[in-house]
Amino acid sequence: MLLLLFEIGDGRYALDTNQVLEIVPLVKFKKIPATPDYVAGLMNYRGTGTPVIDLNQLVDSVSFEDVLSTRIIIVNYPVAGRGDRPLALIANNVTETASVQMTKPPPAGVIMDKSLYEDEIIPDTNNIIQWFDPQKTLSDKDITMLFEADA
Amino acid sequence: MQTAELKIDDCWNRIGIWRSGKEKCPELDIVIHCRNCPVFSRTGHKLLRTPPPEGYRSECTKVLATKKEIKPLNVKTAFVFRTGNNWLALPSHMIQEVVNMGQIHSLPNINSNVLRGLVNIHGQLQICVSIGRVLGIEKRTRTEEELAPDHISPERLVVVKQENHLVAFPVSEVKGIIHYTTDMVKDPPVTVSGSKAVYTEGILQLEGKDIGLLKDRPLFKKLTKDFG
Repeated sequence: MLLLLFEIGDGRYALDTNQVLEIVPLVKFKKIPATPDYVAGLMNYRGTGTPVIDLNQLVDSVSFEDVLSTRIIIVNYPVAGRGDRPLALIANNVTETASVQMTKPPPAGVIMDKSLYEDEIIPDTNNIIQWFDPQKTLSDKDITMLFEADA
Repeated sequence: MQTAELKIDDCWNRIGIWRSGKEKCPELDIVIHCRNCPVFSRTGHKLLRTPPPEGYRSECTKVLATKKEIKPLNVKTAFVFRTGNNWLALPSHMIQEVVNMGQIHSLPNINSNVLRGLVNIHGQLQICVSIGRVLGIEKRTRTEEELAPDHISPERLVVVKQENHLVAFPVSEVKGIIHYTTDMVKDPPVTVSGSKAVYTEGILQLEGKDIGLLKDRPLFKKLTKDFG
C-alpha cells in the first residue's frame, strides 16, 4: 500500500493513502466558535463546508507553522449517520509518500522508518513512524458535533 | 511575514551532476545521480520550509472553493505516416509492425491499381497494396536530395491487420504513435472530395502538420475487397 508520510511536532506519522481524498495547500478558514482549540475552523472545500483540524494543536497544543510544507490532508471520515464526509487535517512536512509491502496496519501501530526504504540509498532512516488512524486519534463525538454544526 | 533568506549550498551545481568544473563529489560514484543523494533531497525539503509567497494562501482558497471539473478524457492513439506529401493516421491497434522497405513482387495478369503485388515479411508472402492510390494521392517527384546515392530513405512497409487479414503497404515516412483526444479531431475541409473524403474521419492538427485521420474499416474493406 501507499503511505502518506507527515509530521506532527517531533513525531513522524504514516497514513494509508486510501483514506486520502486530496492534499491541498494551506487555505484561509473561518473560525467556529465554542469548539476545542484543535479545530482550526471551517474551510470551503470544493463547495462543501469542511471542518479543519490542526493536528499540531491536538498533539502538542501549538499552532501550525505557516510554511509551504505545512499542508492540508483531506481525508474521508465516516460520520455517524451521515456516511463518509471530507475532513481537513493540517499537518507538517506533508512532502513524502512511501510504497510499502504491508497490506494492513502494523500490529504495534508503529513501523520503523528503515522498513520503508529497504532498497534505497537514504541513510538517516532510524526513526519510528507511527500509524495514523484519524478515527482513533480524533474524538468521534467532537467530530460528529462539527458536522452537525455545519448541517 | 518574515522573509528569512535561505542559505543553500547548491553542491549539485558545484561538484555534482550539473558541475562545470573538474572537481567531482566523491558521493557521486555511489549514488550515480544527485537526485539519489540525501543532501539533494534534504535541501529540497528545506525549500518547502519557507513561508508561502504573498497572496498564495488567498489564491489557494479561491481555487479550492470551486468544484473540480473532471473532464472525461477520451484519449486515443493513432499511427502517423506520410505518403507523398500527405500526413495520414490510422488507429494504432491495427498496426502489426513496421519493417524496412523490401522488394515488391508484382503479380501478372492482375488489373488492379490498388494491388501492388506481394512482399516478403519474415518469410511469409503478404499482399502489398497502395494506400495512396485508393485515396487518390499523387506520387511526389523525388527531390534531388532524395535521389542522392548516400540518402537514407525513410520509406517503410507498414503491416496492418484487419479482420484477420494481413496487408502491407509502403509509406514514404513513419512518424510514430501519437496520442490525441476526440475533441482535437476537426471535420475535413469541404474542399476535400472524392475518395479522400469517403475515407477521412477528420483532420488532426499536430506540430504544424495537418494529419488526415483515416476511417479504418471502409478503407480496408476497399483494399481487401478484390483479394480477400
